[in-house]
Amino acid sequence: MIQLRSVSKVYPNGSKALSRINLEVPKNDFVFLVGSSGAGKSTLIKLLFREELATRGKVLINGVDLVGLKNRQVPYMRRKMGVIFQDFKLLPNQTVFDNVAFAQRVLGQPSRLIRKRTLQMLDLVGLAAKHKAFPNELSGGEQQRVCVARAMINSPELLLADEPTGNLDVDTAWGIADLLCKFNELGTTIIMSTHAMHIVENLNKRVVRVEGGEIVEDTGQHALLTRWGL
Amino acid sequence: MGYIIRQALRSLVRNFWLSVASIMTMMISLAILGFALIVLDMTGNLATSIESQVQISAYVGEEEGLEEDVAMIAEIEKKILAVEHVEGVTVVTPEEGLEVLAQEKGKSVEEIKMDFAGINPLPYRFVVDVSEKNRVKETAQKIENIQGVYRADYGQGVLEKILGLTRTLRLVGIFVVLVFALAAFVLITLNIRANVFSREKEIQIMRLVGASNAFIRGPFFVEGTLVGSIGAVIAVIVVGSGYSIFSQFVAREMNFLPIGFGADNQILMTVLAIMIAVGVFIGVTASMVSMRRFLKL
Ligand SMILES: Nc1ncnc2c1ncn2[C@@H]1O[C@H](COP(=O)(O)OP(=O)(O)OP(=O)(O)O)[C@@H](O)[C@H]1O
Ligand SMILES: [Mg+2]
Repeated sequence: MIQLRSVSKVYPNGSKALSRINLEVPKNDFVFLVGSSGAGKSTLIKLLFREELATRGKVLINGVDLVGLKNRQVPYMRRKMGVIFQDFKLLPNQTVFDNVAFAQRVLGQPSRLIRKRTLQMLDLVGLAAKHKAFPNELSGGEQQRVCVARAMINSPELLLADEPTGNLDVDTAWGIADLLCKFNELGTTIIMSTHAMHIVENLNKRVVRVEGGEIVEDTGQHALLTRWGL
Repeated sequence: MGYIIRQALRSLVRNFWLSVASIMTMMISLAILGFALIVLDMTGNLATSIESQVQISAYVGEEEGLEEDVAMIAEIEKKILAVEHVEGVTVVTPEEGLEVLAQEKGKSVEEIKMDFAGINPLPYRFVVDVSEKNRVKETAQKIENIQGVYRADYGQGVLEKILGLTRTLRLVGIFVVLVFALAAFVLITLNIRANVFSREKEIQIMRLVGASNAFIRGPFFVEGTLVGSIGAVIAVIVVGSGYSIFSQFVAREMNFLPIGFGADNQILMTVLAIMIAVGVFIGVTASMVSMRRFLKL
């Protein structure tokens, strides 16, 4: 579902974040993006939800090139993906319920449906009991669960996670990883950047290692084909 | 939709003083615009009504004791006709004058007489047509020198002054309206920018979850429109009541002024409609401009 073809990214200030990346991610894959700090992991994820545009090359999602996408079409493309971050990005003055419901409200869905689906989703991530709490009343792990719920509420095909466990201790991090595995089993394609090697090593998933803006290792079965440009 | 309007109201309340300032400036600029339009319309009427008077009005003096001396009146009429550039003379008797006056003021002859202790205050009047417009002044001078003529009026000096005044008024009016409209525009822009800033995080998340641009813009758009129309409504109330107070005052106290207030208030309605349209227009434009730079959508 994702194809990167010879993608390079140079930021306006001249820093070269990615150079000639080739990557193919089929539907329902679970990919760990690893690499040292500044390697270009976040940049890669930003290209995928079109926060940034590739300087060169093609970024295809379901065959659509994000570079050629009109501004007006971007929101509809984003509805097919969920995003979570290390720093949660929750609205502090809204409850857990409202934070999750928010993602449906902005799509203009009917409020009865919103209520039902939000409670279901909070149940799925194990936060049904805390739906009236505010983000600052929750632990880091719980806040990240809210984010997962918000990202998944509109049933996206793809979940992008940029260091989702970066602020969490080992046990809590595993909780989030398990949650993502669960959604992966339910059919969502997942790309997660992380420094948490204990998780990467224990879950037998595809690992893509980025260093200095290039892919230096890819354990996926599609890796060789992509490397040869097929 | 409900969500969008709630957001707009919330941000209006959040930046209460900035909102008040924007609404007030909007109100002031529209009120000035409204008054300026009305004044321009009235002075326009005044100028044309004066311009049509390329006539001289000559009055017979009361102290000469001539009011009833028909022979003397005929004599004066003859003398006026003999003056150079005079084309024709019409004699208006005090009674005729009173009837014309009564018609202009919409009162009965009796009512007007009542105002002057029951007597007709008007002297005999000669309406003199002048063949050459730019000789009106000297012709009037000559007529005034005729024995028995107390005063000879011609509109020209007044006309020039009023035309000049109208021109100045128009320029000053346009300038003041522009300055205030600009101020209103800037304030609304600031207002919306402040709100975009205070809701930056929310907007960022909206974009992440795929809210359409229209949805994100919605509240700001509504906010700008609201500020514009609230300002316009207050201004409409101010101008509307100001107009009716002023027209009543003029009708009562200064009914000698050749200012016509249409009974159907058509000018007023037009002006009020223009004010609302301008208010909404400024509000909408300001919100569009302030968002374009901030939401790189
Ligand atoms: N907005 C930006 N403007 C300019 N340069 C940037 C920007 N974002 C990232 N970079 C640069 O691009 C390179 C890759 O950054 P990126 O954030 O993708 O790394 P990362 O792999 O996510 O690192 P970390 O593991 O620390 O999150 C770095 O050299 C960084 O300085
Ligand atoms: Mg990063």
